[in-house]
Amino acid sequence: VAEHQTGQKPDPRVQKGWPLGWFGLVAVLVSWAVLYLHWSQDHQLVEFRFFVGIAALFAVLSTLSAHATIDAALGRPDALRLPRWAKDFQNYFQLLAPVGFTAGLIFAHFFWH
Amino acid sequence: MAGQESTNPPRRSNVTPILIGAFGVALLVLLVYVGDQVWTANQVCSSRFPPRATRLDDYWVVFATILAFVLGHASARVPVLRRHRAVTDRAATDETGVLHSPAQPLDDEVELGDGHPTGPVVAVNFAATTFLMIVTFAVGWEAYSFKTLQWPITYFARCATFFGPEISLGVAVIWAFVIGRLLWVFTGPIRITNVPRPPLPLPFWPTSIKLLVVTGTIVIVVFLGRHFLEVGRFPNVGSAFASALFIGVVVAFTLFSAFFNALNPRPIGSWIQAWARRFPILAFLLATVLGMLVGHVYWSTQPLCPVVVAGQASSSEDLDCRLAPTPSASP
Repeated sequence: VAEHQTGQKPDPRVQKGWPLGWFGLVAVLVSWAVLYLHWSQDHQLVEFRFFVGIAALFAVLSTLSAHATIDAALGRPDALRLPRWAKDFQNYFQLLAPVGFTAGLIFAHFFWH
Repeated sequence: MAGQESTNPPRRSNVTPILIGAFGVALLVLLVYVGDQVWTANQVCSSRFPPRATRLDDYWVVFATILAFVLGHASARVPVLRRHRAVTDRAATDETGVLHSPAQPLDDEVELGDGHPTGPVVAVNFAATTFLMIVTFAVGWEAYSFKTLQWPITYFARCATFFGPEISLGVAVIWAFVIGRLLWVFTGPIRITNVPRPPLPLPFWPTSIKLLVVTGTIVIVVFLGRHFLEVGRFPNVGSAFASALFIGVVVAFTLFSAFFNALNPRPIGSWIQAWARRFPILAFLLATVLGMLVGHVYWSTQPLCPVVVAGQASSSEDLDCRLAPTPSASP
């Protein structure tokens, strides 16, 4: 948004690297698909699979965050960059934080094991 | 005038760090008290299955935590709006009556360190990474517990909540307040100008070492707690550890905030809020998971017994109904 308003050029220090975000997204979706397939064959241990799925999501997020930390330490800004079409979209997540908190509160209340 | 406003570092208050530190010490005392009470109790809860309902009604937990979440957000947002209005007013009172310079970006509005990675940015990124890893470890431990038929962390936390529902409600409220204050942020009206941003003076290593000490302490407590879990009296020691962990994270953060505020011109909250603005999806996911944590641990209700699944009563499948003294006495 700032770039649009000021007309600034992209920071030359930003290097185009591996699309780690896409790798992470694919890894999470694949792990969830595998867990779902396992669950569809055997309905036991629902809680175990649920928590493994959440753990897989946070393992990927931790890795991406660690990557951002290392990049920032090396002086590279904006280590985790979304595609241009998604940049404005991601700002809506700022408004969704209370929805996420409340939905999580209610959902986890019912998810008792 | 407005340009000078943006280049001057924010005024530092000597009172705020002392108040935050005093609150942290009070929480530390509470932590020791709760740990002692839970550890030495006769029996905090059933050793077969933790109870769901406590002597506090449901709506206390629900409305108090949601209200605390909103208040946490307001506590961070209102000062920003007030300062923004003050700067805008000063910019508008130009001699010619023309708004020569729109309001400069305030520290809270601009994304601190965005495009200029500095010590605090790296340190907060590092802290966020560590916290995400701790969540990963905790969730993985829950999964492992179910696989190996051990008690997960949740059960011990539920026992502690059952033993002291009022204190647990207070801790849940503090968690919700902190989450709302740090993770529910707005970018606000973006007013980028050509005024160069002030240098950010915080050194990297001292900040990182402080964060490392705090997170290292938490990790050590986790491993010590696990050790006590194995040798201690079941489920008291595990419950004491779980309650100490939930309070301990807040204590560590509060004390660290006091030190950070005392030594640096900008509070640690501003840097964390800036992180939440830079990574709104991560912040959203974190707020969701922390909401789940609060709801899962602190808000639980007794089921209607017998539990009806697909139109058929199956009370034997629900441990709460099976272990309840009078299964039909549930609401």
